[in-house]
Amino acid sequence: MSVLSLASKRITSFNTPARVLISKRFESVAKPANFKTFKIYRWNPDTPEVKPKMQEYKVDMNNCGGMVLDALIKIKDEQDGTLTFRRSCREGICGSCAMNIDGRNTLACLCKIDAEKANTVKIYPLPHTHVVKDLVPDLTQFYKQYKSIQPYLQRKEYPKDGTEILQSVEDRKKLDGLYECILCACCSTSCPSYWWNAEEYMGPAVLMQAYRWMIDSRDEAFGKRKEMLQNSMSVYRCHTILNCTKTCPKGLNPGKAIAEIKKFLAAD
Amino acid sequence: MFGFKSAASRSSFLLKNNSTKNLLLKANSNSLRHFTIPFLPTLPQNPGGVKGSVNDNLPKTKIDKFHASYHWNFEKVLAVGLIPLVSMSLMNGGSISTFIDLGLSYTLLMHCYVGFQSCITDYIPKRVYGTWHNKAMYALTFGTLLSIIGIYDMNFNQKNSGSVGLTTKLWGAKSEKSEEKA
Amino acid sequence: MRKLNGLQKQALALYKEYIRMAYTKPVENQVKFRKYSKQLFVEKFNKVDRKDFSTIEYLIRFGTRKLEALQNKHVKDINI
Repeated sequence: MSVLSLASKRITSFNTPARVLISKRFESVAKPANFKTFKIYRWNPDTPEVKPKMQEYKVDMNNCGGMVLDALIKIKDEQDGTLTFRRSCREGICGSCAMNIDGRNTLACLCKIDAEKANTVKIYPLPHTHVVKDLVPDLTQFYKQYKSIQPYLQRKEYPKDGTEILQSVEDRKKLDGLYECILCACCSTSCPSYWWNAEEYMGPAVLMQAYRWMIDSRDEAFGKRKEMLQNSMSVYRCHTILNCTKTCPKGLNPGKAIAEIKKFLAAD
Repeated sequence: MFGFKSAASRSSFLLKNNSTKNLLLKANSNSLRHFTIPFLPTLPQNPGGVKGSVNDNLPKTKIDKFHASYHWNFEKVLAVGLIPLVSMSLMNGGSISTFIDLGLSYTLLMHCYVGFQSCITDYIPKRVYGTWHNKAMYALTFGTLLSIIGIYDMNFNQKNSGSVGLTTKLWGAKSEKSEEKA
Repeated sequence: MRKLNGLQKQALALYKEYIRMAYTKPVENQVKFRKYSKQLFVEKFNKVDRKDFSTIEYLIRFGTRKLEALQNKHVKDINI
């Protein structure tokens, strides 16, 4: 008797969450479909004679996650396998899925699909970049620039016992708001100065990293880093337009970092 | 003044100036629609704006303080200097000494000069327009020199009454006319 | 013959450079390289309208990149 009752109890305790799940699934089927239209930039390098076009996809929001990246993945899975975009972590830490959504450069994985707003979402690749395919931009120049500021620790002496180089709490605090940058290139590609002079002007993202290495208390190449920027193009094409700060999907402030660099150089 | 220059005219210009081999090595226009000045010839650009292969380093930059930090400092000094000069002449309403008037005009002129220099480096960069960058800079300097003489004349000629006086006159011109009509 | 415009001349110059590249390769593979170049140009470049400038510019850019990769002396063979 007691064994039976235990068994039945078990069964019910197993059944309850499963039942809830099933009922939920039925619920979503029963709900009226809530379609949203995604207009996505398409261009295929294999047929370069075909001009780029905007393709429309309809996605039922009842069966889709809340972010734009969820919708993109859903479209690629279910409707059009040829849709191309970069994505990796789906939580805003890799910076792969940077694109222009509804006129703003953000990470698709951090951009909510607004339920109330107009019915269509327009998605373009990052502005003023060479497109490799669909939503994939060519960031060669951006990475080259990042390489050119030497983003690594430079000093003559290291601790003899092979341990880490220590830093005070205050010195570490200076790096907050700088080290979080994931180099998604949202800010650089939103900067009009960078659009005109990308070959020579470093762009906000790279300059913020330059500043991050300048103020690092463990780094000893301050003078060298300043010299690299001491010309008319590298820094001074920044005219404090501040699109960078406005668009940054991580809420950082590259504009301020560039202003600080200018202060360093002014005292030079 | 500005316009999208068609690829054909750009390339045909290239052809006039370079031998074919040079052309191949250097001249590969971007497919990006460049915002160029139609009547100025442009230099050939690297394909995709990238020089060399993916792993090559960017060319090293030269230290040039006169076009970098000194230029920027000068810009800021002029901008800050304009605040008291403008507010003083605004408060006095026209009756300021020739000395302050002269200071105001020249500071304003230099402010414009430095500002336009920035514009030229932005929109007529050496990388794209070559010697035309220098020519634009010379034109700007020439204009500024003319203005220096003009401002001197404006302040020390018996007929004229300085920049502030001139502004006051312009300000009053319309009201005088309307009074006449009335 | 119709006079070639600037971009067409650029494309031809690029093709010439491809053929030159082919002759720097080992003798037994030169035919392959030449064939590859010809295929690339006939397949991609011939389809395009002569006034479709942005596409031609893209192709020339793309072709130059590819050429740079092929010119590497460590590239010795190619499969079509």
